[in-house]
Amino acid sequence: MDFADDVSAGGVSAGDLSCYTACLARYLECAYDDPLARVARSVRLAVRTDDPEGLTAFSHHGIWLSDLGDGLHLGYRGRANAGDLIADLDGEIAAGDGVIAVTYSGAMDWSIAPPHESAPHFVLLSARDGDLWRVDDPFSALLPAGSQDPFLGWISTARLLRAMTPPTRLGHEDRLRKQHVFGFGVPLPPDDRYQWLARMPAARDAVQALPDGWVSEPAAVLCYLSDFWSSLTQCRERVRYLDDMWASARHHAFRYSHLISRVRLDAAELDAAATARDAWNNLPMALRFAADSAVRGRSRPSLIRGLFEQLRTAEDNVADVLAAHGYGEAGGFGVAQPASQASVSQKGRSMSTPHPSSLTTPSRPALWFSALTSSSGTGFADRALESGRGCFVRDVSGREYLDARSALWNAALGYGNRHLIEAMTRQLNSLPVAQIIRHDLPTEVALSYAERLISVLPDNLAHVRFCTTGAQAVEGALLLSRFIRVLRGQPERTQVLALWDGYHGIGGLAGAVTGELPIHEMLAPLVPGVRHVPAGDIDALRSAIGQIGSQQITAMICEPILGTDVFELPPEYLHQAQSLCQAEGIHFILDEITTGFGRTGHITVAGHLGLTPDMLLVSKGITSGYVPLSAIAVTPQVQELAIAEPGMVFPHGSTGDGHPVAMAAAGAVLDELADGGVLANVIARGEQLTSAIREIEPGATTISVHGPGLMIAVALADADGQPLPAHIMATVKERCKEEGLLVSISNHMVLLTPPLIISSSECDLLVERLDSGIRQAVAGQAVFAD
Amino acid sequence: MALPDFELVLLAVKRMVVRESRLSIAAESVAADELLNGRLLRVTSLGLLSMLIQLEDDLGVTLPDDLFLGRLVYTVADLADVVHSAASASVES
Repeated sequence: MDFADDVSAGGVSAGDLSCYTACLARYLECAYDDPLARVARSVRLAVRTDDPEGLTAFSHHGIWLSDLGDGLHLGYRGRANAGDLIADLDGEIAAGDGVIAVTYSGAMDWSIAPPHESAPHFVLLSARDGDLWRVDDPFSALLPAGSQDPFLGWISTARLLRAMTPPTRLGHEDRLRKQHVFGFGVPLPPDDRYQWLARMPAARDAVQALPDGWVSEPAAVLCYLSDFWSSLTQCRERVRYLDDMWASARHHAFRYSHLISRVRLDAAELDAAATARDAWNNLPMALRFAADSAVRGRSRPSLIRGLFEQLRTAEDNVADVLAAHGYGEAGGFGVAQPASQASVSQKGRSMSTPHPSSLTTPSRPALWFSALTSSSGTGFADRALESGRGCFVRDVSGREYLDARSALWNAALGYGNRHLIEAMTRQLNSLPVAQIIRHDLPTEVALSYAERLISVLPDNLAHVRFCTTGAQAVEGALLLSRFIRVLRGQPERTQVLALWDGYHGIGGLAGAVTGELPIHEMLAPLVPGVRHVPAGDIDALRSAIGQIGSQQITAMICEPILGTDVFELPPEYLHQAQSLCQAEGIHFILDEITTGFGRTGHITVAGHLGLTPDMLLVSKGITSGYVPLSAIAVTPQVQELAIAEPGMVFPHGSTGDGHPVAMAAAGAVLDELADGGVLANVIARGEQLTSAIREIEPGATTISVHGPGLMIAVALADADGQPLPAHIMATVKERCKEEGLLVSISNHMVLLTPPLIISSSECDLLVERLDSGIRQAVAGQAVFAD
Repeated sequence: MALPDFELVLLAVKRMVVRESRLSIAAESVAADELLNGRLLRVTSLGLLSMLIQLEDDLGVTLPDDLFLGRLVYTVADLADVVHSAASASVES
């Protein structure tokens, strides 16, 4: 099957190599005029078959790639102490050619590798300026975790140290890979140390031959590997070597691409080289298919044998071409000539590359973040968040937190979602800014996304206005309702009904309809014309309408699940309230800013319950929070009334509303939700969390848990059943943070709203940290009551 | 057991491709000669691999062991042809 998307047939670059070799090739620019040619001509595949631990080692280069000429080689060095490491790295950089640092992919902010699959990696540090290090990581590839892009930029010392910190456990196969990265075995420092590659005199025994126990003759290697992979069903642990085969395939494909692009070949030679390149490109996918088949109990020995037979034929056919043009061992390749010292200095990386200016840290930062008060202290500067991946965020000190609040309930698809980022990037490259509120040229991306959004909302909704924030959508919907009354000659119809304990944001009208007394007191005087009624009490609602008079009321707004304490309104209440309002001509506005886009396991609660609101508001998860966006979806009747008067346009909107990048992100979110997998995960993980939290039994008490999907409230009470006071709840939040878990607190409840993509093992971790955080906060007290 | 209809296999493949490509379009609207890794579908090799496994499971076929030997799978129809051949072979055997 010919379906390559790895190494192109055209030009070649260091990024086409494996992660180690890509960086080595970049570094070797200091020593060789054409380091890519040196790498291409070094490619081979040898296998060690007598490892004492029963493992298999691979060598990918037939010459020492660590050879810098003039008797110098690269070799591993290690330091246990960060201060010593910095001094040594400084020294290497000062020598003029940068230094290769051994990092670990799961700890690199720009890597797509998840932390639990962290693997050794090389990056080139080409300059230092104060606390900043210039990093060059040319590696790029399509990996099971997604598309890895090259990285070139400045990072802080703290981030560098974090990237260089070895994971707790390093697999033996990872050590073998590091050991043979230059083509031949070299000593490694202890695993628990920061490591880098230092220039050092060549060892006397740096011979270009492998010891006994290695198979290096091409046909013999392929024969050995054919048997090795054919027995996969019996030896499933061999899947760990798929990465080695991927690296080998990548190197070989690189060699043939290099040969094709750099050497004038006749038609027969070109055909032989292209066939070999395609056969190697084909190998990783085919082997992975065989491995997956083995896992599913389907043995594919003939597929494996066919693959390696195909490779052997291709290699046989191209051997003479390689020999004729000086590639590989078959060509009797000699050691390349190092470039002159003059050219080395000319090729040294510039120390004067622009970099970000250093930051100053006054006693209180310039940023006035909303939670700041006089008692906040200054410690938060060390806890400033600087990166995130999946369900985790990381602060500048390197601490990692499981984000069980999804930023502010909005990072629904977690951090670093490649599909979203790529969609946003494409939009930035095509039309980075536009407007939809003033002129009559809406963007194509807004037009198309609006159609897609309407298609997933309740059927009675047919049109959508875009805003930027949730509060803006709330105010927009209420103002729209009043605007319609003005157009219809009912200017007295201005009153709004809302629920006590409901939350609709902060701001003039939004703060007024929010049903929290502390907010009312702090924002007084409130915008008039709002009446609050008890949540879930249909008689109270009916009574309020009777008292005010339906002809004075323009709209009722409510959340189907009150986010503040995760209070689910009974479905029958919602249906009754909707019927009551619509019978009286009152617009029924459903605020799904927190519940929309999968938080409860459904795109909307309205859709799930069969509600037909006149307006429906969404935000937060609509873009997974990657860029602000909110929306007001309305019925055809609402739109018809609002646009009925020629020349009268509803005066609402802000410059950034319906931003094209937000539209692109929102479209990508719908893509991610399309197959139902994320929504199904919400249900499954919600049940898992709820069940596991109920098992927490500190002392002789229990915990009360409620909430649908991944919108979970954990109520805490003392031994007498009294809700825990605010200061203990604040301690719970802090202790959870110390345990590496970010939660929200609402009254006496811990709110858990993790990303919708949270895995089962991450749920286990969440519960473990929550348990520990609560225990510490209430140490010695029997506090839980159901 | 009757031989599977190629059009049915093609439709099943189209549905899977649309899902893999995370597109919100009708499967029927995808042309048979649409390139798998073209501008519309953007299927990667890993995506194709995932589809092969799903096709085996969903359609109950066993793809041939010469799947990766000299076959050219560029379009939706190419992929459907592989699956249809596999299904036909299993019926005939």
